[in-house]
Amino acid sequence: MKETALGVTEIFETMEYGPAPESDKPALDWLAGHDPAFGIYLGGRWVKGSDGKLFDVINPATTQRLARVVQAGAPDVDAAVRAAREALPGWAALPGHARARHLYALARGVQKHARLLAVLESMDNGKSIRETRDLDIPLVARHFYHHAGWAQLRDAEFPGHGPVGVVGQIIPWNFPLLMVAWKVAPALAAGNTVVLKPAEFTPLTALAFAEIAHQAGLPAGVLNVITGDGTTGKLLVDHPDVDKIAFTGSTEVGRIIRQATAGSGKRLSLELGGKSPFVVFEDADLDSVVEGVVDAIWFNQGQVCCAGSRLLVQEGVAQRLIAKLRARMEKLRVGPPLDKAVDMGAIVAPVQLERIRGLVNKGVEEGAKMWQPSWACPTEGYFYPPTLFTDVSPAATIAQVEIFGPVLVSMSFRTPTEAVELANNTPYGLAASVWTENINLALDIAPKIKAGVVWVNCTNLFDAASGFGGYRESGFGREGGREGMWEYLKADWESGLGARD
Amino acid sequence: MKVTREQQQKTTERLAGASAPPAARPPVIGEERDVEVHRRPVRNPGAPLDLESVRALRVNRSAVERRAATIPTRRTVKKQWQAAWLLRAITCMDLTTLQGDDTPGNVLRLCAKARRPLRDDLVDALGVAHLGLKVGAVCVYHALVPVAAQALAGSGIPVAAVSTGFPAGLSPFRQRVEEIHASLEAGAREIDVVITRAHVLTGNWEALYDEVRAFREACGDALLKVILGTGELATLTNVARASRVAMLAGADFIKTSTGKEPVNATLPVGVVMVRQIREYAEDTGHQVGFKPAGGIRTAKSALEWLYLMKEELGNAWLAAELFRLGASALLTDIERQLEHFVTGRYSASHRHPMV
Amino acid sequence: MPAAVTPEREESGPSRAPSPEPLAPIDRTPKLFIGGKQVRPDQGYSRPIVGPEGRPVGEVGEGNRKDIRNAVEAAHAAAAWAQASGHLRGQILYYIAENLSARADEFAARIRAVTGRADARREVDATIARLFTYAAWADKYDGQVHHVPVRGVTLAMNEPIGVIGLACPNESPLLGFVSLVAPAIATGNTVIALPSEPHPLSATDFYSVLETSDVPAGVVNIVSGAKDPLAQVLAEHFDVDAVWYCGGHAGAAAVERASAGNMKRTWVLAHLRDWFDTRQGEGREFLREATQVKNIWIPYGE
Repeated sequence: MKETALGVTEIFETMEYGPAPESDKPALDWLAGHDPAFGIYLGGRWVKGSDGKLFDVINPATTQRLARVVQAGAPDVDAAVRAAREALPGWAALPGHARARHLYALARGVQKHARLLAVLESMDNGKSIRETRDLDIPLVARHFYHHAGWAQLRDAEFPGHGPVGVVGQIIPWNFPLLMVAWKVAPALAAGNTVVLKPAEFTPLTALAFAEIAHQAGLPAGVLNVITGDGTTGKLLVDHPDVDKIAFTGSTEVGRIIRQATAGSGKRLSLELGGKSPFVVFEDADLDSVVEGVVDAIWFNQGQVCCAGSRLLVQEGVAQRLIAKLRARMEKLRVGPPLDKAVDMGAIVAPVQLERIRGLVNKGVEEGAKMWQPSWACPTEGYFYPPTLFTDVSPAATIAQVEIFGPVLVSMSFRTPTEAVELANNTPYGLAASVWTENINLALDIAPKIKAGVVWVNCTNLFDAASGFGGYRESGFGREGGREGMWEYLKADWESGLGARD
Repeated sequence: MKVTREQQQKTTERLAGASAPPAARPPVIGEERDVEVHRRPVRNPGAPLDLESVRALRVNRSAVERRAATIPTRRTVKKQWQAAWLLRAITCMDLTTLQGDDTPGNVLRLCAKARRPLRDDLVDALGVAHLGLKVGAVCVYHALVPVAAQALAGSGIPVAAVSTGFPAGLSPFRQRVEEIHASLEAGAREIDVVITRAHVLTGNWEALYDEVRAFREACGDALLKVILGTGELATLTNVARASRVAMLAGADFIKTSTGKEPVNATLPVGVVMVRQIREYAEDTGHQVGFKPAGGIRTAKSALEWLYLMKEELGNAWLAAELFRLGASALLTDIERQLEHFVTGRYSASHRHPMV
Repeated sequence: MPAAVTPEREESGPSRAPSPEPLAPIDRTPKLFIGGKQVRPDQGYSRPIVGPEGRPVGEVGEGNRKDIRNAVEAAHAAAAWAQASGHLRGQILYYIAENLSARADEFAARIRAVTGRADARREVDATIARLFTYAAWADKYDGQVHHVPVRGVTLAMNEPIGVIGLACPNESPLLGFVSLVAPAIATGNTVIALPSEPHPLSATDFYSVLETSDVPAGVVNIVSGAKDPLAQVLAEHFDVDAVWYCGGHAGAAAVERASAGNMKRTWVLAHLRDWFDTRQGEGREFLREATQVKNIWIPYGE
């Protein structure tokens, strides 16, 4: 008590923030219930991997092992696809209302276990509990509710269409459970069955979700979850009895998948990388722009495919904006992801941290000016501070390559036309953000930028009702909304046609 | 932290001769300044009205609302940190009563509470007796100023008077200025004035500037808090422009509301006002205080306002010199939270001496 | 010019009696259609086209990589087409239909000659109807306004993909060709069309229809020749945004594999379609493939 009282006086003088940890106990208890290892979820049952191979899942903020999961091999992938194939006729034949009830139950299940999922996600990925609690998990529930609606309305709104079939879905580690929702919800709503492979770094919430689906009474085989690394993903991509592959991840892997599925007749949707422009005109509300940048590149440690990683500022306000940004960066807090008062958590894995460091070094070598705030990151765990590059030329590596970390590169432009040219000066086309108080300018620029999503005076907003996906090498297909449903639907008449040769 | 009302007053006296405000330091584009490290040097002398800079201000409401929505979710304080922050909130309170049925009786009660905002056993348990906790000021209508001044004599707690035709500010101009003089004579050391909202709504910035400038002169040594009545200013851009004009005209504090408007202190309005304070400090080097008032009833919301100040302005704005919370019922909720911290049990209002 | 035209015969002098045989038809120069002009193929080769009984019925230009390169340049130069109003694009599609209609008999005769099919006139009529369909769609393929939980609107715009390569089907050489070209240009794309390899003459005849219909130069480019190799060039091209492929399995696989270079969209029409069937041959499926959805988030509030 005395110590505590002393503390109060000191804090009264310094007015510093203290630790505000979210308890990890329920999540640890849940993990302990799956010791020594998780199984994979096939045909409504939890089974061990065929060859007993396991790998560790690490908490990047502590470097401690959280769990062991199965490295699924060919027999496991076969079994999963078979289970999905067997479940397909029954699931596809269900009336829309019945499928809607199942999706509704999934949404409810996610909400019932919202905090467990939020904590688990934070521990597995390293992202802050604020983000998992306030963004990831609510968006997951929202996605299932929205698509429960599409299940209900499929026959009325998409007459003459049915499911594509068995869908293989491979998702990344940056939004582990949200990507489960983006993939699974529309697939099931349309009447497909699914084999899902979460990322090797972050499989835990997908496994938790499978438990929730099981408890919610989702019919066996409709959703199958297998864990593993890229080799497992490749087995799924190459599997002859899969009708469609949906992948979110790097453009590099997307390219390989495109080549691997060429000529297979498999449908494909890909949501890939980006180097999204964040365009600031001189009449923008600069203080709001600063917060926009925080949401654009220091959200989820910048490990966001649509991160606004290229700041393009009109020359007249560039210096002012950079000064404001630096002041704001000083106030960001990086720390334990389960602390409720941090802005940024940990980088997902050492390999990613190394990549970020490597590219930042390259940026410095190539002559760009690097700036980081004066405070230091935690030394235990994989942390990287928010980083700002100025004096960057479009030719610089850091201006072209997706860094996938909390690193912003800034360039200036003179005219709206030049802004568009710079914005489009990339092979990618995932997202863009445009800041101006002039609606004429905003609505002139938005259509000119090659990107699947353009945020006017905002950034990184997502919703189940609005399709998300790229132009150019950021992939194709949309997730969310009516446009997203088409990815999982096939015209009935197609089945009756003959092949060309 | 201890700046010192005395120092301030001395400087004010030095400046008193000069009626024209010193020219504003021209903004240095791109220069980095950490507004946190400055102590509040002097009272805000104001600066010439720069209409262009006022009219150029644009606020994007939806972006501001998103920022405001994450202030309470990005930051939180727990345990002894929360206790310390709540104590700080107490020291920043303008304990207020502004009712038609105010009498010397309830004002005396308020003043007693201002001197001893926290039960002694809690003060002891927290080990903060040496801090000599007291609120930032007591805020009353003019008629109650003498009562409050007498009750607070020797406590170091200033009496603030709402003035200039509070709350609408539509009585004759000369009368409004005279009101300030009268309250000062009655013992007020801080004056919370209201502006003519019509000047903002019609974009008559010169009139607003002249009005506040006149109030500033009438205040003499007394601290001038300018109530914008943000609930009646229609847009956040208007809030930003009114904030800037009030500061250029010499406001020591800008304050959100009278408590009588349909909408009082909200975080989005706060975000806009404190950003203007920051901008003004960067442009002129003068630090202006902020006072949200109206509708702040819970310890949690008091903490949210403190997060806002720390995040957007810095630690200098976490003290009574530059931050006030206009409230009354808030104090009871803070006491309850502190008792919970000390005892581990949830508290009840009736366990704390009423405000 | 003279090289391709049949050399004039040595005419007899005025003293000799006119020949009893009728004059031979004037041979047509096999050309490609690039940038609004009929141009000679890069290498100056042409390929003979035979009819159903194996008799030659005409020739077309043998397009190659450079012709594709030039066509892609021309298609990009015509990018302003994307900004043309739907009304204008519709008017031009109607005008194409009008001009085709005026020459319906000629086109029917050609189809008959190259395919031996008796229903050639029906194909021309269906083609005119198809052009009407997309003229109609040109100002009607609206986007949406999504209801997202912010105070604002999210505009889901159907934007053209850009430059699309079209490897057209062999079945219904005119109707199949127009069934791909029309939806692509109705939505604002510019195209490089590879006509049916065995039956390209309806497409090469179509040059003059396009020329008389106010189609801006470069909006439709037509490169005849060996379809799969040309499709491969299109699929590999880094500045082509999509390829639609009607053809065999091997060609489809090659196109899809090559598309990975710039992750261009591919649409393989793997099945034989009945292009006369409006369910299979036209409509929203084609419009969806011709566009990509851009969601513009516009929060508001003053």
